[in-house]
Amino acid sequence: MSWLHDKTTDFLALVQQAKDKQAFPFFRQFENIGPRVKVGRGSYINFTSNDYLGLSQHPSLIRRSIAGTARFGTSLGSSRLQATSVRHEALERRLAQWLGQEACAVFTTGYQALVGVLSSFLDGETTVVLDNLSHASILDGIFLAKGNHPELEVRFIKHNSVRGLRRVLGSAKHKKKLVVVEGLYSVDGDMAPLDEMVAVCREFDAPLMVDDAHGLGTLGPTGRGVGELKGVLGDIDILVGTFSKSFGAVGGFVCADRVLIDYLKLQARSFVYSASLPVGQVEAAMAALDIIERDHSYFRRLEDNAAFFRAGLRELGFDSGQGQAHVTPIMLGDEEKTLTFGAYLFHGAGVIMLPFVYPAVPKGAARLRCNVTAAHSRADMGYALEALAKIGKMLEVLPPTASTSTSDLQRALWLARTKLDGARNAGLGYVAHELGQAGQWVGRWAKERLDGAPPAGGDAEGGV
Amino acid sequence: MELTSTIQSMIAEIGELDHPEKIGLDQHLIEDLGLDSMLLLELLSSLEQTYSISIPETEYPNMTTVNACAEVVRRYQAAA
Repeated sequence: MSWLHDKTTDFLALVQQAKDKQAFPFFRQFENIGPRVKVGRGSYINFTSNDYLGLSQHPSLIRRSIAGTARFGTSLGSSRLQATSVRHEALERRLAQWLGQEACAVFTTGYQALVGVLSSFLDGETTVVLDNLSHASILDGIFLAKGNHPELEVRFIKHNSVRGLRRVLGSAKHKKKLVVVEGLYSVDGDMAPLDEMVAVCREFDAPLMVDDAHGLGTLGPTGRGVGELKGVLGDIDILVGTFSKSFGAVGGFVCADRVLIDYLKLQARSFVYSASLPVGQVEAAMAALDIIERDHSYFRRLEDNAAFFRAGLRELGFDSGQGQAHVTPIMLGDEEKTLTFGAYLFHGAGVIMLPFVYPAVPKGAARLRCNVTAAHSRADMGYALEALAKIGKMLEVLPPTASTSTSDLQRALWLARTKLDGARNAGLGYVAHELGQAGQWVGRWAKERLDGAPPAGGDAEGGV
Repeated sequence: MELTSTIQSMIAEIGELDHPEKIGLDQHLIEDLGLDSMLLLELLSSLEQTYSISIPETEYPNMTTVNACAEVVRRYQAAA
């Protein structure tokens, strides 16, 4: 045992506690991926994916990814400096053109893209302004920059506050400033007021950098993200995106003026010292961009699905917080209840939603994060709403009268459809598992009839 | 302006709270007033700028209320 082992003890004891309660929501081993996943013998409706358009399973992406891999192999053997393919360059040109920027740099992940830009451009003569709910990859870029340049001034504004932005820019220590915000925030599902922020940035001569990982491909009249939705796409100085959400692949990118990109490609250590994105992924991203550009039916479906699900949540009386798009948090507040809710959904109803508790979100703001995608069916969502209603009432998050206006026939059809999908997804094992559950229910019912005793255990075990 | 009322105003401004005078001197900045660690850093930089002091990181964990912040500011002002 070394100090390394000692360091893990307390933390892993907490993890073990959650595992003992069957409430540890991570590292579930999926046997397939998509809106419905097989885990062990069970089949689950998955609301934790960022594959918002469902493109990771699209035949065109898979086919072109395979063709790219066949042509270039599984690795390019080095970093972009020595291992740039014609396809990387082609993708960069396409992305820049799509977003109306001069140039683009494709990174191996979105995390590296953000860390790379921030650590390359920020120095001891700069003030950087951040939203207090910035993603970890932005904060890590800042830590890196601050470590190298202690004189870098880091300032924070309260989430999405234009007033705060004006105040901080007005009192910045340095003349050179950079404002870094996200387009669509992935935990709360709300958007930055980019139109107002652009105006304030112009006033203070501060370039604006936007990470629109969750908005690109999903929002705006043609899917160009929150910048397009707010009418200021052309005013964003540095636009960062990812392939790991709506593009159904892996990788990140930065779009900006050519000189900024040329500089970045030689200065960003996360670009220079990391392996080049495999061409299989480059081709998948290219195929996704083709679809996103030409076929708007995917994000229209995403919009419809999000609207349907949000309306259901509202009808039941759940609080969706500030959520405006396809990220629909279900605000529960209480930490223990949130973890229990997540566990009941998984074990009892066959639905996966991720519980978010402190320190991922502030104390008292615990919630289930629920990502609706274009790939979810009405039955998936309708069934999930019924499960949320049932468990919500059981945990006294909802009043006993809470209900959707869905007819019993519709409910039955959704239930039948989800069971059928489950059997299709997980096969005979799932059918046996479901029959076992039904058997338990019949057993409890029979026992109740025979003994006159109430049924044991919560209904969550019996599904909905 | 008294030190604690200046700090109350700063907190109200950063946390965008409507009534600075209603911020209790011993209310917890995170648990009671809804600030987070990022906004606390913003408060620290405001304090440093306003009072021309430099607050070492070791003090941060203690600065959880208006009174605690005021105590730290006084100490570093005296040392300056």
